[in-house]
Parts: sequence; structure tokens; C-alpha cells
Amino acid sequence: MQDRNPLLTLFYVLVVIFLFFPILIVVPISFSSGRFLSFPPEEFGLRWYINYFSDPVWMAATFRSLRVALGASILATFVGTLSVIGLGRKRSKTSGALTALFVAPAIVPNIIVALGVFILAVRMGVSDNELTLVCAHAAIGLPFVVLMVGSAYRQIDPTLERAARIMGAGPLRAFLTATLPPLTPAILSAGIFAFFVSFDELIISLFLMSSAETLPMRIWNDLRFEINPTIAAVSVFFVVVTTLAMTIAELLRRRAEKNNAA
Amino acid sequence: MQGSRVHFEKVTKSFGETVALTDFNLDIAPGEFVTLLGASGSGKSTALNILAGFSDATSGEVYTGDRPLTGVAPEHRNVGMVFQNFALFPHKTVAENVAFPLRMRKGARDEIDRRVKAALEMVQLGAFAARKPAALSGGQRQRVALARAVVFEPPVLLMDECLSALDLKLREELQDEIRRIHREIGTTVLFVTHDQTEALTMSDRIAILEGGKIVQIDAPEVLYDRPRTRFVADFIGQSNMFDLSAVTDGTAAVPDMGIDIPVSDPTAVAISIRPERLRVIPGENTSGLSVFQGVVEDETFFGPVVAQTVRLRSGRRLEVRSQRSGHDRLPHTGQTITLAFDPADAAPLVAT
Ligand SMILES: Nc1ncnc2c1ncn2[C@@H]1O[C@H](COP(=O)(O)OP(=O)(O)O)[C@@H](O)[C@H]1O
Ligand SMILES: [Mg+2]
Repeated sequence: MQDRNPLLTLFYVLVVIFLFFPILIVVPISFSSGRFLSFPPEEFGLRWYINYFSDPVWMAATFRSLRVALGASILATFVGTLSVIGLGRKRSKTSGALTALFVAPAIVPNIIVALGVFILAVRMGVSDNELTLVCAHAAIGLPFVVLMVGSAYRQIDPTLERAARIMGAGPLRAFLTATLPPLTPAILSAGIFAFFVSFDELIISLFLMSSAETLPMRIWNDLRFEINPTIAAVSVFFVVVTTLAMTIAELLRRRAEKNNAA
Repeated sequence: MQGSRVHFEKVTKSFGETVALTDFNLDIAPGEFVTLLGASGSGKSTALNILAGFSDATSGEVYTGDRPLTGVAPEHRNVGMVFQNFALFPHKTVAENVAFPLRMRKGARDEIDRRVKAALEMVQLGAFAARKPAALSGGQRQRVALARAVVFEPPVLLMDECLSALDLKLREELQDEIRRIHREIGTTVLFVTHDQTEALTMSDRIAILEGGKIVQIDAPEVLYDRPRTRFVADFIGQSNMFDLSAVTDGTAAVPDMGIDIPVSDPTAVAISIRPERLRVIPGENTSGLSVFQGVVEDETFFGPVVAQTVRLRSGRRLEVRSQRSGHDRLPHTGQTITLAFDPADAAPLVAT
């Protein structure tokens, strides 16, 4: 191995600090027991965590977010996986255009999606409705599912399904036997991604919801009126859960890649 | 078990502009082992896929027994198939893979177990039932694929270049195994390869494909000894081909050799002589043979066999293969030699 350039090392450390400082700074704050958001904190305790978990408003927002994210994730995964199979393995002009269409919500700024969804929802009289939010979040989660499941799908040997057919399985049975098992890790990991696309999302939720807050909305609204260390506790909780889930998703994705390569 | 007759009747297949099969006719007797042999892109897989039901013929009909197959889904054709890349289900064990076609046919559990066991014994993998395919070697995987393809005793078995992913030694082992299994179960086999040695050693009959068409179908010896066109003579083994003058009264001149020979086929335009059919003549005992002369230009030593390139007076070169078993010393490079062949060993070739 070559000698490391000390300047390069310094640069690396600075980048890491730059990326992680905003996240890490909330950790000590969340464990403070002072009344106000201050840094560095003087005393430590679990006061703000207790506050978070015992406040019905925070809890309602948390559970609403979990509910919406679960619904959006399931919907996006289901629709996305079926789309991938519908698009098929071979790339053609039609499938290229359709893929671009499915992936579009990831490229269009969320604020534009939010505006569109808001206008539509008001017209149809379904704004401030959890189901509407589930659908909107599923739409922005869909691109990740189409991309992740699609790339796994194209790596699966198509002769496996033919083999199943010639041995007596109908089309559905052949899919379930030959294609679904190697596809499952990618579907699960895409589902987790879609879950957090929804769980993190603020802008569309702000446009669409008013009385019923999601967790990011609650944080946003809370921040606007008072700066309160509860938010730091919520943030740490949020970061831990997200990191864990994303790690699981990434491990699943890698395992799928390795299996398909074998 | 009884194999069924397989019959391709005037099958054509086009992919847009590409014509993959034209006027493809093939009639395979019950229990026969027929090989489709052709270069890559000659339409071998297309023919197999149409029989398997993975793709539809553009026109024509395929039958197994007397049953026309158009519109019959692959799962209802009762055909076994071995794929080049094995196509084993990676998440199922060896036994589960082999049991799959039986489970699709809703057999009783102990009956399935018994037949899976027998099939694995047949390919000498009884001890590997509980393994996953990833824990097997390439040869073992292909044996599992073979067991899986025959476990439900299909009357027709298809194999698409199923040995070409394996190295030579394994390939020869599996060739023997496939022939043995074919003898044991008596199924009709349609085998695809681009390897002429494989085709010659395994088949009852070989169909040579060129550009989506069968140009000759015959038993291996007949194909080798009596190729009908330049393409076939060239494709199978090595061959010396010489143009003929027009055949009159059963005789034609071979201008390059400066001799006349009897030719049975009045439409022949050339002859093909295998290098080992040419004899180097030391003495003068040449009655009944066609005799001509040339100069040895080059030789290659193979141990029991010597291959020599001989230049004729016309400038044409030909290949001679001689056994070194005789007492006579073979002439060496630069020497003029007399060559002879039995005209019956010259296969008349027709224009295509
Ligand atoms: N799905 C397809 N789409 C377009 N052309 C195809 C397709 N399958 C095969 N072909 C063409 O048909 C011809 C025969 O192909 P194939 O049967 O696979 O040949 P082989 O198996 O003898 O190598 C080739 O020219 C090939 O390019
Ligand atoms: Mg092929």
C-alpha cells in the first residue's frame, strides 16, 4: 500500500466532519437535562426522551408517519415490482420511455410534485387525508423500487423460468418458483428504501395535510414556535432507526447481488 | 418407457427481417437420437425452442406422436429439456430440483421420493441429494439437470449445447452417460451441438444445418463417407475436394489429377476424398485404383499417423493421412510420390 498523503487524510477527516457534524451535534443535546436547547449541554439525562415518548401529540405524529410510510412502501413495492415484470427484460423504445416515466418522480423536485398533488387532491376533495398521502408518497417511492428491483430482475437468468415451464409449471407458478425467490431480497430492500422516502418526506405532507401531522411536520411546526430539546431526542431516534433500516436494506441488496452472480 | 415420434413439417421462423428457419423438415423415429449440428446462428436453438413451446413457428407444424403442438403451452407438452447453463433453481436442493417436475404432475409423496432417488442414482449423485447447486461442480450440476429432465420419463428429451460449458474430459464422461441413459430409458432425443466430434460419437442420425435449413441428414458414417455437398464435406472432418468435368457414361475427368474416374452420380460437380483414403503407393500394384502423382511439400507427425501436404502438377494441394504401421518407409518432403484411391471412396458432390 502506498504512503498516505497527510493532506489527503486531513481532507477526508474534514469531509466526514462536514457530513456528520450536523447529525452528531444533536446527540449530546438530546441527552441534556437543561430546559433550553444549548450546546454544549451542562447536565445529562433522559428528560427529553421521556418527554417525547410520553407526549400524545408527538406519539400520534410518529405513529401516523409509520402508518403512512408502511402503506406507501407496500403500495410502491407492489406496483413497482409488477411494473418491472411488465416492462420485461429486453430493452426497447417503449420500455425505455416507460422506465423514464416511472423514474420521473425522483427527478422532479418534490415541491412541484407537492403542488400537483395538492391541486389534484383539493379538486377531488381528498386533501388532509392519510390515504391520499400514502398514494403521493408511494409515487415518489416508486422510482427507487423500479430501479432497484429492475436491476436485480435483469440479472436473473431467464432460462430458469423456461426450465420451470417445460417441467410442467404454468406461467405464475414458474415465476413464483424461478424468479421470485432470487428477487425477494431486492424487493425487501426496495421496500425499506420506499418506507424511508415516505418517513422523511416533509414538503408534500405540508401541502396535503393540515390537522393530521406526520412526524417531520410535527418537528417543523415545533421548530417554528419554540426551540425545544425534544426535537433533538426525536432526531436521534429518527437517525438511529433510519441508519439501522438502511443498513439492513444495503445488506439485503448485496446478498442478492452475490447470489445472482453465483 | 417408449419415446415418441417427433415431426417438424415445413417449419419456418422469422424474427422481423432475420430468417432463422426455412422449410425445416425433420422426422425422428420413436427412441431415435438425432443431433442438430451447425455453426452458431444456423437455427439450432430456434428449432428446439419451437418444439419446446418457448417460441411459435411463423408457419408449419410440429408434432410429437400424432399430436400437433401449435397452441400447446410448454408445460403441457411433456417434453424434457437440458439447458446449456444448467438452469437449476439455486435456492432449492438437488433433490428438490429433481422432484420439481414430479410435483408439478402431482405424484404421491413416497412415489416422488422413490423416483428422485432412482434418478439421482442413475447419474451417480445419490449422495448429493441435500446439497444446493452452488455446492456442486459444473459436471455435477449438469448431471442434476439431466436427472431432472428425465425423472418424469418424458417421451421426448431436448438438449441445447448442454455440454459446451464443460471442459473436454467432463464432456466426454457426460457424453457416455447421456448415451447410456438414452439406451436405458428409450426416450427420443433431439440433441443440439456445434461440436462435430460430439455429434459423430453420440447420434443415430445427424442433421446438418446451414442458414436455417437441413442440408443433409444421415447416420454419422454415411455423413462422413458420403457427404453430399461441399459444405457438409468441409463441415465434418477434413476433406480434399476436386472439381469434376461433366459426367458422361459414368465417367468424369479430375483435371487436377490428370485422370478419369468412374462417378456414380451423373449430377456430381466435384468429389471429396478423405485424407486417410489416399494411399501412398511404393510399388506398381495399382489395378482397379485411380493413380496420380505429386510432390510432398510438407508433413506433420502425429505419432501413429503422418499428415502430408502434396502438390499436384496443376498446383493444387491435397492432404494425405497415412498410418505408419506398414513396413514401407513413407516418402519425405521434396520426394515425388504416387498416390492412389479407390474411386468408391470418392464421394460425388452436387452443387447446392
Ligand atoms: N429472439 C430473437 N430475435 C431476433 N433474432 C433472433 C432471435 N433468436 C434467434 N435469432 C436469430 O435467428 C438465427 C438463428 O439463431 P439460433 O437458433 O439461436 O442459432 P443457433 O442456436 O444455431 O446458434 C440467428 O441469426 C439469430 O440471430
Ligand atoms: Mg443456440
